[in-house]
Amino acid sequence: MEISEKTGGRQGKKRPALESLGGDPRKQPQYQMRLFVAGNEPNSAIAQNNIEEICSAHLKGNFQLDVIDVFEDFTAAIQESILVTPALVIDKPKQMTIFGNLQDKAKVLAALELL
Amino acid sequence: MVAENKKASKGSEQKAATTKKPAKTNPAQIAKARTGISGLDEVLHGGFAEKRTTLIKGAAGTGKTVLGQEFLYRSAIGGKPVILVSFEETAEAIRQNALAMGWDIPALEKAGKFFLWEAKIDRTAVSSGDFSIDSLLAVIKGKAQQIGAERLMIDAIDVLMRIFEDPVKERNELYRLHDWLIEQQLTTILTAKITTESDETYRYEFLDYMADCVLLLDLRVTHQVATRRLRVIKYRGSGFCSNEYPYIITGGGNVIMPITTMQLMHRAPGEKITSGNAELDKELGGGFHQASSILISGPTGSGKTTLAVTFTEKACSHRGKVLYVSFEESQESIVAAMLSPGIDMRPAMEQGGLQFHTIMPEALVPEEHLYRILQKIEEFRPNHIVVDAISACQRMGTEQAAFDFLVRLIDTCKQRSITCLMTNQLDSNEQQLNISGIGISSVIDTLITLRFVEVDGKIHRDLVVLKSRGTHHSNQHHLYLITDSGIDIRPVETKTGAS
Repeated sequence: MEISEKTGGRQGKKRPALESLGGDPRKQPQYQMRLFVAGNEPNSAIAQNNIEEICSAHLKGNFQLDVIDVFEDFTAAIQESILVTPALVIDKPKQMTIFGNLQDKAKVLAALELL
Repeated sequence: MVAENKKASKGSEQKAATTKKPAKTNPAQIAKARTGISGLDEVLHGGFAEKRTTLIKGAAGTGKTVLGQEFLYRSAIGGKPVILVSFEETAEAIRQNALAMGWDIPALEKAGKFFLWEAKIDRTAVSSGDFSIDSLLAVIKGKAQQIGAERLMIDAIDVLMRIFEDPVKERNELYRLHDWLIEQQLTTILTAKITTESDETYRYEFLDYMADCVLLLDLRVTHQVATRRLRVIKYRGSGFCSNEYPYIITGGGNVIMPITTMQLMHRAPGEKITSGNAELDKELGGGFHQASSILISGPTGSGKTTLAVTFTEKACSHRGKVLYVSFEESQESIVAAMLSPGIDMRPAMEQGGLQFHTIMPEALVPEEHLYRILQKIEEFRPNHIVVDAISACQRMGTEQAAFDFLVRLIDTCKQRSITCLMTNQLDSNEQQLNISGIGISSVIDTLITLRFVEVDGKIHRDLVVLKSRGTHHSNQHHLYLITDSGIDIRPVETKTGAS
């Protein structure tokens, strides 16, 4: 699986993304998440770093993480009613939204049903 | 070549604009965004602060959203695209409520003039660490650029701020929002709910401080009558009318009813017009003044209505237009009753010079009464108004409400140079010389009182002009007779020989 940048069709600045660890591309990943960030603002960078650490430590490559920069793609923020950033929208395994830089990793793990 | 010149001059203009000092250093020139809301621009001396933030606050149900929405709607209809971010009401509810006022938001959305964002706050979301409202700002900025919006409303900012769960963070974010809005040059309306919880007061103190203009809305119930009031608490860099103003929400939007700077704005008395009776005209030094306010007081049966109708009939025969507001009798019964003293109002009605507005005082709240009469004035454009009788206004609710209603009506008439003739029923003969008339004597130009007197064992009607601004009058008692051919007024012969 992979971490991708969604930029609403526009060419945004790519962030360093975590290498995916393989797996069957036809199979839906067990974990699906979208991280809404606001450019290079510190909390957004911290959140991305935190979620990537959780991904590599706990999700064993069975995940999809899209990073969406609201400055590049505000329409995605409108659709999802994202008012604050950073915000992690977990679509799978269970619908859940977490605001903040994700420094409290236990809350993220709980939302991913890993605690 | 021409195009190049134009471009160059535009460039220098822009430069001049950016180097210009902020408007607030020059209070006389603060830019205003006209609200288009009836009466509000008058109270705000022109409108909301352009490119600045206005806060509308009030308890739940006081009409904050509707007031802000009307500003947005009128802007969008006038060709200025707008953005509404709602944290509380659903988009569907907003569209529905607007439609009840006749405002078609979906049509404006389709035309790209209105962006309505139902920014639902996810109650199930949890927080983990710091966050900021960057996403909200990104959406506003993106949409503003996309549709060219310069006007914005953030409805229920208090709901958004609650997600911070920390007063310090909340204040920092509000501060950032404020600076950002100014930087983006957006004319913004924030609404905030006032609660009585003391731990929330910090939020409002800060909002008050950061906004350039603050309006407070209030819905009060006194004596079973609900009244909406609006007050401007502050307006940085601008004058404003500081009183509390009643307002109503009608089928077409908000209507605020300011009493404008009364003594200052009123024009000098207009030309003389006949009172309808030659002897009374003589006593008044030629008649009433156009655009003056006239009060006829007297007990039941003393002939107030007859005098008012005499004036009405004569005014109409001189091609004047009269609006006759009756709080006591129906149009039919007034017209029929006046045939007995030989006053026929029917020709005036048929020719379109006379219209009646009859309504029970209890039927509506005073603001609604006033609004309907103002609408009638707007449609019919009368030269004169008769109000029969103002004593009935007390039945609209409280004496204060009746007073407000009358002062506003008289004020409106003065501004529009409309003569306002009112009758007032007194409870007894004793009150004759008491010129209170629900305390409005100071705004009355001419006061005529009627009473019953006993002369040689017979009851007669007696008429005195107690006061008449700008005209000579003698305070002479007059015999007032109602005959088969109208009224007959003649001076009373007195031993001192005043006449």
